[in-house]
Amino acid sequence: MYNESSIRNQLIVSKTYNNLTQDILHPIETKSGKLWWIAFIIAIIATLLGIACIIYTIITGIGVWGLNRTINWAWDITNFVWWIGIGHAGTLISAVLLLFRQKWRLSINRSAEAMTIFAVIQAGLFPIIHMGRPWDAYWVFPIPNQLGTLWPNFNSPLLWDVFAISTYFSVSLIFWFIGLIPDFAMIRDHTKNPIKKKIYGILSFGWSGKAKHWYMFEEISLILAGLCTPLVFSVHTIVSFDFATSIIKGWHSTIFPPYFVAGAIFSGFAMVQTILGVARKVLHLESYITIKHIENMNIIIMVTGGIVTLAYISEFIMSWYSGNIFEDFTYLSSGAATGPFSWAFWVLIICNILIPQLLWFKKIRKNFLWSYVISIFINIGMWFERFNIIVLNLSHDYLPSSWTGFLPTFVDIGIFIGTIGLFFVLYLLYARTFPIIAQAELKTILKSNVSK
Amino acid sequence: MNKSKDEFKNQLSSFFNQKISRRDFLKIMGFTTAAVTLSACKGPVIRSIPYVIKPERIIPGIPTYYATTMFDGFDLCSVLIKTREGRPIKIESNMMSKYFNITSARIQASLLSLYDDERLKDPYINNKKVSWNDIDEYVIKRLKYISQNGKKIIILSSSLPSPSTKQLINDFSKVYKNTQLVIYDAFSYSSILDATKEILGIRAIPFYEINKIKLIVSFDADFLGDWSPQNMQKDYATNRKPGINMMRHIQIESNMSLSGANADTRISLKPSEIKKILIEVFHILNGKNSQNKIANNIASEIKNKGSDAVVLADGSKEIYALSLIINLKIKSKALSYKKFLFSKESNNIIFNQFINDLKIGNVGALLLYNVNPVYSFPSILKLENYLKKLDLSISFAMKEDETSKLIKVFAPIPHWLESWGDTHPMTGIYTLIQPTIQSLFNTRQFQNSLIIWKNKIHSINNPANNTNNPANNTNNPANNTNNPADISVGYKYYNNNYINNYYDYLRNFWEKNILSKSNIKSFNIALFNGFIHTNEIHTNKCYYNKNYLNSIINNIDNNIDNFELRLYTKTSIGDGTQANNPWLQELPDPITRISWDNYLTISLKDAQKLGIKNWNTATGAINSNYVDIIVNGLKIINIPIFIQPGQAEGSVGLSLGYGHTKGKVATHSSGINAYLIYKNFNLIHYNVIIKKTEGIHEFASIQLQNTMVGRDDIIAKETDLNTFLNFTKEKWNKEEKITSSKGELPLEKISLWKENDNNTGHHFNISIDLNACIGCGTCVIACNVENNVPVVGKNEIRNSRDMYWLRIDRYYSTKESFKTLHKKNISEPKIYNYLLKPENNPKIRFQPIMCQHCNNAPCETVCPVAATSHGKQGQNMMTYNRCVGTRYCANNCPYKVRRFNWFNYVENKKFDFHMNNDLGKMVLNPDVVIRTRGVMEKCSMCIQMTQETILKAKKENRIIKDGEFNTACSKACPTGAIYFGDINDDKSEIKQQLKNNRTYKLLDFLGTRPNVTYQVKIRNLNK
Amino acid sequence: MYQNNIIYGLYDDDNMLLQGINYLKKKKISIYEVYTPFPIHGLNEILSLKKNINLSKLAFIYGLIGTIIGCLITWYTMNYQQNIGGKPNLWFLNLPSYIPIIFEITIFCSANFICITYFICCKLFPCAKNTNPDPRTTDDKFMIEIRTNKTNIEELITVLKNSGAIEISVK
Repeated sequence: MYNESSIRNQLIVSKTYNNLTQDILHPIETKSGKLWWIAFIIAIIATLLGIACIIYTIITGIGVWGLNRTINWAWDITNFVWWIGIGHAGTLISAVLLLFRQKWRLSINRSAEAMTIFAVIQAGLFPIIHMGRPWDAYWVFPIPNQLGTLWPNFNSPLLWDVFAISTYFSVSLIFWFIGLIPDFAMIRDHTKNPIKKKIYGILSFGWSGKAKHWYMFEEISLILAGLCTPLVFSVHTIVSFDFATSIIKGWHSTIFPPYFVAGAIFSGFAMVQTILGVARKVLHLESYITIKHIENMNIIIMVTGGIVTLAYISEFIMSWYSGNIFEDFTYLSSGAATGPFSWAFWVLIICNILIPQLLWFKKIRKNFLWSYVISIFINIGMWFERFNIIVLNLSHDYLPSSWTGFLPTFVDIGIFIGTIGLFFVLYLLYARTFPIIAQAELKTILKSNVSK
Repeated sequence: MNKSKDEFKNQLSSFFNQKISRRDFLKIMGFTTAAVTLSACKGPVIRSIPYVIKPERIIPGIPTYYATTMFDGFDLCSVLIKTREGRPIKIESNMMSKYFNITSARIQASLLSLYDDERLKDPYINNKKVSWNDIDEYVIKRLKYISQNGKKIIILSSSLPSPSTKQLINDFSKVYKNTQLVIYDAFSYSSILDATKEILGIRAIPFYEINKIKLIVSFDADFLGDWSPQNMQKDYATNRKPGINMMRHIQIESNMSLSGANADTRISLKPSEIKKILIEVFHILNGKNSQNKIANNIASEIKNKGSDAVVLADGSKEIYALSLIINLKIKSKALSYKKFLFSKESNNIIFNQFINDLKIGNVGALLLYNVNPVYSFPSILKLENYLKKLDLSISFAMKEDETSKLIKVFAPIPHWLESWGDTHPMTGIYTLIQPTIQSLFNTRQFQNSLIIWKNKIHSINNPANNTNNPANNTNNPANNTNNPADISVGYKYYNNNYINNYYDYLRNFWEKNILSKSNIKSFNIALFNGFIHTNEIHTNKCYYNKNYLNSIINNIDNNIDNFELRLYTKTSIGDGTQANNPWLQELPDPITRISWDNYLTISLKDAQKLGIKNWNTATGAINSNYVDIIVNGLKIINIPIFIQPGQAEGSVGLSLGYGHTKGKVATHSSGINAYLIYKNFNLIHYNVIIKKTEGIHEFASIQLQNTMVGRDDIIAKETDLNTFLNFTKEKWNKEEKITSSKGELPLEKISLWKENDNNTGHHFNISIDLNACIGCGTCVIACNVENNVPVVGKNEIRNSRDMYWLRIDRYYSTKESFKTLHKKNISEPKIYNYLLKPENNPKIRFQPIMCQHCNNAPCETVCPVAATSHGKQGQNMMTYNRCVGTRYCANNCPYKVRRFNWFNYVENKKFDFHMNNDLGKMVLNPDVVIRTRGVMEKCSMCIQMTQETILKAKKENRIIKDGEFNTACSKACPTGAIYFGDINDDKSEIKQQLKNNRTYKLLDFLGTRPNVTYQVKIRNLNK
Repeated sequence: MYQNNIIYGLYDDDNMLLQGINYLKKKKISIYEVYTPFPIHGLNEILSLKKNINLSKLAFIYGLIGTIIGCLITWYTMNYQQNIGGKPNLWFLNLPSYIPIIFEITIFCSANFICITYFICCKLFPCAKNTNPDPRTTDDKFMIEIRTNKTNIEELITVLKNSGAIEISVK
């Protein structure tokens, strides 16, 4: 049994076990509201736009994007890293905070994990469609073939990505699913609709809540959390290797792994704020997602944002102090601040460094609306961080003769909008069909609160 | 039928009724499976025609080479044609020939015009397809009538340095009285020819032996471009080998030309001022004093060198004449009195007479051979009206052009690769043109037509005779029914009515007149070589008089306001003959790096005065304003304008050869027809008014950053001759070193692991001498041809998606450097305000960049599917089949040489160039695969060529000699700037190159260990 | 006739449940199963549940297998003498390149296999029939299942009642 420390405030006030059950059941049992449908239709349209753009790309060629001979990656990999970064918060909340016994995570971990899964799906899309020949994408897996000696190149950071992303996706998925099983069982037992009963019956794997199962459930959760924690750090480290192990100035930077991980958590928590800000209102979860949660997340955003700022400063100083003339045009340099991409540079600085500083004020930190607005700015800023790293560094490379600029085409933008659409389609469906709060686990901490 | 049906039924029923054993079942299964599988294996139908009798010399897969002469009316070169399975796929220079043996970008690319899908495929009369017999009948009737009526029959041709054709026209004129040959070159060399005639007494272009001198002073003469048909590039480069004897080059010019870009000292002046300086120099050399500092400097340099100097000039007849007089005065060793060039015969006077004749209706028939006057002579008098009125107009052209719509008879001619012919380009040289492919279409050579019309004049009214004639429209010597006895009888050529085709005529002519001049007695040997050298020399005396000189000197244009316009020809398009050639249209200009366009070049200061801007869009692509110009009362609107560093203030430049209205490829380019301004064949026009107008022009430029941004001693290194001679390498070509426990070690000596073995077998290296590279772009086209590099069109070039495997970077110098700026206490980011912009009259460095074939290639490590890996012979290899197109390799390439197939460039309507039609695809090299979309491609060090050499030597069981290994670029380079060879061969030239002090590797501090090396450019500043 | 009686006791609070179990243990009544809506800490000690399988150790072993697989894959596939970027061909020398992948395979194997093991141990699989006797046990109620072959079960019921059960049913 948890022993709640008396100093801490109660997380969830005046809810009984049954309240919780009913609250979880509510969206599943009732019909969707108007707002949900509007959101869903917009998301579907965006998804269709994205799908159309992807099909157009695959039929015509990567040339429909705004890339050129010098900037061979732009929106594709920017989006990839952005989505992967967003994905990090979910696993971090459920795994790392579990290990640290942070109980406030319980009301948000399910949704955060769902966000992880859906974000990783979006992220995983880009490495495939950015290929010139996506139909041959399976060649990156070490599949035996008739040539015998034809294998992928294990030296390539892109291949590390393949393994990291697929491992991350599969482990996140099972971690999420194991947590979902008792909640599915709850829905199965309490829903009145026989079809739903059947479906949730299948999904609940015959869970009965036996003492021994709970015992093993706790253990496996802990093991998976233990595995997920290094995994979550490794994934973004490996993503950063895409850049860090290369030879391009501005990419080739030893600071990238920790800085990318911090940036990922930074953006991930911002996205959790953004998503839960909406979910809280729409699904009436005010009593579960309290100002305490928001404040805690804001503090994490502040800490990771601080790390990111520090990394920016050190990158800037390194490029200046090294006296290396090639580094004068990296994404954090005076060259970038004044060059053709200066607008992107300043968007990054404003969104990622200046605006998060508002969180130092307790009033802002404890304000839903302010937190929500700031989280959106951080999302934008973190997208630009990846854009700047990729495009700015590539655009001004070693030989000035190959310097170019970049402008996205409607296909670039369409695909990005499409992934946002698909993300929300998945999330909206999730919100109506899945237990959006880990009720079984949350019930463990409800008791102590109620009894007090 | 019924029986068999029953039989089958019975069998079937018995089959089903019987008990099938396991063995039977397996048998049946095995058969059906195999049958089904086989039927599924039906491949696509490919149309191919097998050889019924295989030609003796053609072995599939083995190329055959033929010597011939490239001549399209503008360029001329002794070449070797590489053919595969009977089709020409590559043009290489014929190094056996002493002169005219250097290919240029245009010559390399002229191959493609053979496979131009827009070529005329049949003869036409009044837009109706007819047979050659119809043409003959139609033409001879009218010719006869016209010649009897005393009207002129004019053969309007571009320069025709063909002795046999001249003879033939002579013969022809004996039959058809009043026939006259009028030479009309779109880009006229008449002023040079006239000047030479007046000074040296011969109407030819003087031959300059610039390898004999130490100073070359050029007054606006782009001698590395089209100033002279002579190939000066090679002598220029050899004579400029860094050392005490390195030739110095001073260029005084208004436009930034290729020669100016290579000059040691370049002075940019307006054309009128150039003329003044030239006259001043002349005066100083004659002992007078001058106040002009520039003239004094130049004159003193010329005086110092004496006969070791040469003065070249261009612009007008007077200027040219003056330069000749100066050369005579200083007794320049370069000016040869014994040899002259005859490849250009432009004659403005005769042409003007013809125009006059045309006006007054004296011309009855006009035979247009290889000219397009409606496009290139757009005078006020409207040629169109006169051409329409002609009784007979015949177009001998390969394809429809601007003139075609006014022509009644189309007698399409074959490409020079399908033709017979000869040329006499200079004293002591005769070359032969032989077909290397059977005529692709129903075409007939111009000369054949003349012969037939000449011979048939009497038979035309008697149709019965026609049937007796052998096939006329063939060049094939096999059809030759010629009796050798006829020749031995000793007919005069013009009476030889038995010769019915041009091959016999040519052979006869050569055997009679040409071969006797040399020690080669067999026509076939001459044909094999492609040329003969004779010992002819000229013995002329110079006889210019003082009065003439005075008239030149006093003819100074005074007090000129407004702008001065200097017309020029571009390296890629030249006079516009090959404007429909996508390779050439796409080839970026060596100086401006813009393709698919021409534009008015203007200096920055003038542009600022007029409020004209060039600016970069977000993609980096260059946009410009439009201007209207008024020249000699003629207004031309909407000319794109390009700010050209080095352009003389007060002057503008415009290139000829663009603005075609016919031809798919030519019209894809949006250029302006500068021939509108080329009035009286004047290159220089004064009093040009320029006005900015509305609208934005979109340029397709391959290079968007023009300076090295302060990286001058890292990328394309340069030093001056004095520093090079007097200081050690440390000072001007410092080697990157790493401090280790064993002291300072060069980069190559340090590695975390044991390096791969590069010392056994072949290991190829390319060495590029930046001092010899003149930026002409020949290698770029050669690479395109050899490696099937696609043409991507203007939009894609504008999107920075060129596909060049080999590019020539051009860098302008900046006024300031890091050193000078740091001294002035200017620091980042302001420092880059100075370094990003070129200076007003910049020095230029060219740097050819192809894949550097790094031994530790960054691209290889990052490929997830190992599609790119390192070869044993030093190549960085690309496995197209394996590539999935992540483009990581291109990102990670510090040299940015990898090219991605953004689209399918083959059989794609969006890229309607030669790869989109069956005919155009015939130019593709079968040894190199066509890349599909979505894969990365890049320079392969022409692995197909090296492998061929290795296999050949292996078959012959011998060691490969140095020089046998070649790449397309090293073979094509006119100046020998690109060396290719095996560094594991101790005696090889490349090994010596590596030991050269000037050698360095590009960006080697990254640890990539490239297999391409560069050699520092040396500028002879005469300090 | 031998009769097997199943008696269910329902509690509405986890503390009551724990007290009840202690009470029953004192009465030496063996508890067959407990159904709860959420994990209750200390339950396993009270019930003295024994692990027949050590998931943590197993996870480690699975991880180890993953490491070995990773090493073998990289060694086998990159053993081919191909010069990629001048990197050494010897597996050991080029190991740094392979560490990320070996690590990921380790995690992959460990996490996935341990989950499968968990499902097998708990007999959880899609479409499996649920065995909780009362649906309320997944909401807010807690249930004790006692199996006995005694014929007289009245005594047991009273003991259960005394232990705080709010509802008792017999099957």
